[in-house]
Amino acid sequence: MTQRIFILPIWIRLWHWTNAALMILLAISGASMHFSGTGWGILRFETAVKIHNFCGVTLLWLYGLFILANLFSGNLGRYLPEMKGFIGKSWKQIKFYCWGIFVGAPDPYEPTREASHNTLQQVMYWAVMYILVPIVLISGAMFLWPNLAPKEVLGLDGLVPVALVHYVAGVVLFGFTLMHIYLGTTGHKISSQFKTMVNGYHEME
Amino acid sequence: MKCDLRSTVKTITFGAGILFLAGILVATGQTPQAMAQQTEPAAEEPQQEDAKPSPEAVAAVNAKNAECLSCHTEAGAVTADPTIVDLEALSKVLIDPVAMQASNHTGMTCISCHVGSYEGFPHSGPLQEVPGRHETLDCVECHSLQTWRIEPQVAHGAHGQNPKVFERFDCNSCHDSHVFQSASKLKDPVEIIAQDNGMCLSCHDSELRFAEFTAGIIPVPEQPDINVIHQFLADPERHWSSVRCIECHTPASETPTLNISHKILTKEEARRDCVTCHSADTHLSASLYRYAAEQRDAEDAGFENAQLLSKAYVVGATRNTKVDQLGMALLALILAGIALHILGRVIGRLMTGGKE
Repeated sequence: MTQRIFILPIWIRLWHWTNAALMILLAISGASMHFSGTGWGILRFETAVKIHNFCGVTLLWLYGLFILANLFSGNLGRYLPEMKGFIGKSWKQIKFYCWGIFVGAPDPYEPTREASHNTLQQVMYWAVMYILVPIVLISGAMFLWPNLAPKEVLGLDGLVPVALVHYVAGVVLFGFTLMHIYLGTTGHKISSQFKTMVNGYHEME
Repeated sequence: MKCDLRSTVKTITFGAGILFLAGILVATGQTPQAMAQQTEPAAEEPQQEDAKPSPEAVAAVNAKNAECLSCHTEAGAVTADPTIVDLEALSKVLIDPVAMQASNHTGMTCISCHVGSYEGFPHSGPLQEVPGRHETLDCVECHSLQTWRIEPQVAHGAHGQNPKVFERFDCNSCHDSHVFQSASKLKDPVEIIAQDNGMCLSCHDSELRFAEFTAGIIPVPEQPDINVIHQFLADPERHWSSVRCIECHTPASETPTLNISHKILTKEEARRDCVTCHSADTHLSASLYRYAAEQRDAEDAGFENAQLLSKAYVVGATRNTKVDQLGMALLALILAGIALHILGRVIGRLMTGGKE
C-alpha cells in the first residue's frame, strides 16, 4: 500500500481550486472580449464581460483574504525558499525535470507538512503570487474602475498602457497555468499530485 | 448684320443673368459664404479650407449682426429700453453670441434667415410666425438636399411614430441652429459626444421639454432613469461619456462613408450587439472617430483603429496585433515545451520498461 502524509489543510485546497476555476473562467472570458468579432471568442461579448467582472472582483477579494491568511496562519513559511544550499537544490531539481524524470530517477524533493514545495516551486510560487497576480489584479481593477487609471499617457488614453500590461500579464499567467497543470502530472503517479490537491495527502515514492 | 444681332442678344442675356444672381444675393441679404453653404453637400462632410471669407466680409457681417445682438443677448436685454422693447418677448429670443460664433452658421448675418419684419428696428409687422408668411426661413431653404434625405429618415424613426407629435418636430427641435456644430467641424470626439448626447437628453432627461412635444397628444410618461434602462451595458456611465446615444439608436449603414442616418431607433429596434463597436471592424471608426486625428505612432506600433486611442481604449477594437502575436508565440512555445517533455517521458518509459 502506498505510504502517504497529510500536507495540505482544507482551506488551502479550497483556495487553490477556487483560484483555479476563476483563472480558467477569466482566461476564457478575457480572450472572448479581447478577440471579439474575430471568431476566436468562445463567449458572447456581453456574457464575457459579466463573467470577467464577477470573477475578477471575486479574485481580488480572495487575494486580500490570502494575504491576511498567510500573515496570520504561518502559512507563509511553507513557500519561503531557504537560502542555505539554494543553488545546489535548485540545480538538482532542474536536472530532475530536464533529465531524471525521463530515465526514471526519483524526485530529489520529498514534501513535508511544513514545506510542501521544492525550491523551484517556491521561487515560481513567489513570482506568480506576489508579482504576476498583483499586476493582473491592479491593472484589472484599473480597467474596471477607470478613475484609478491615469487620464492620459504619452498623448493616448490612460487605459492603453493598463490594457497592454493586463493583457501581457494575463497571457503569462495563463502560460503558467498550462505549465502548472502539466507539472501536476510529474508526481509519483500521473494522478498523484491531483489527488493531493483534493484530499490533502501526499503519496510517497 | 445677323451676326451682330446674335452677339448683342448674347451679351444682353449674359448681363441679365449676372444682374439676376446679384439681385438674389441682395434680396436675401446673404453673404457669399452663406451662399456657399447652401451648396455644401452634407452637414458632416469635410468643409473646404478655401471657403474662408475675407476679413472685410467678416467685419461687415459682424457689424450687421451687432445691431441685432445689441438686444438679443443676455447683456443686450439688460440694457434694452423697456419703453420701446417688450422685455418678456425679448427674453424668449436671446442667443449666446459666443456659441453662435463657433457654430456652423457663423459668418452669416441674422437677417439671412430672419427675413421680412425682422430686417429693421422697430420690427415692422407681426413678430410671430404666420402660416403662409415665413418670417424665419426654414432649413430647407438652404439645406434642401439634406432635408430631402433626412426628413423621411426622421419620419420612419421613433419621433415619427405618432404623426401629431411628429408635426411638432423640425430640424431645430434637435439641432439648435444658433449653436449646432457638425462633427466635421468639431472633430474632437469628446466635444461631439457632449453636443450630440446633449440634444437627446435635453428632452429625454427633462419632463418639461418632453411635454412641449407631447402635451395634449399623449400623457407625458415619467422619465425613466437612463442608467437603469441601459443596465445591460457593462458600465452605462462610461458609455455616456465615451459614445453617443445614436451609435446604437440609429441603423448601421451598409456604406460606412455615408453620413449617419437620422432614423432614430426605438429601444426595441436599437442595436444591442456589443461587437458593433467592440471589434476590429468597429463602427466607431466610421462614425464618432471619423474626423479624429490620426495616431500614426500607435498605428505603427501595431494598434488597430489607432485613431480611437487618443480618447479611449475600446476592448476588442484597439488591441495591439504585434503584442497579440508575441503572446500567442509565448503560449505556443510553452505548449511545444510541454509536448516535447511528454515525448521525453514516453520514450524514457519505453526504454526503461515502464518505469518513469
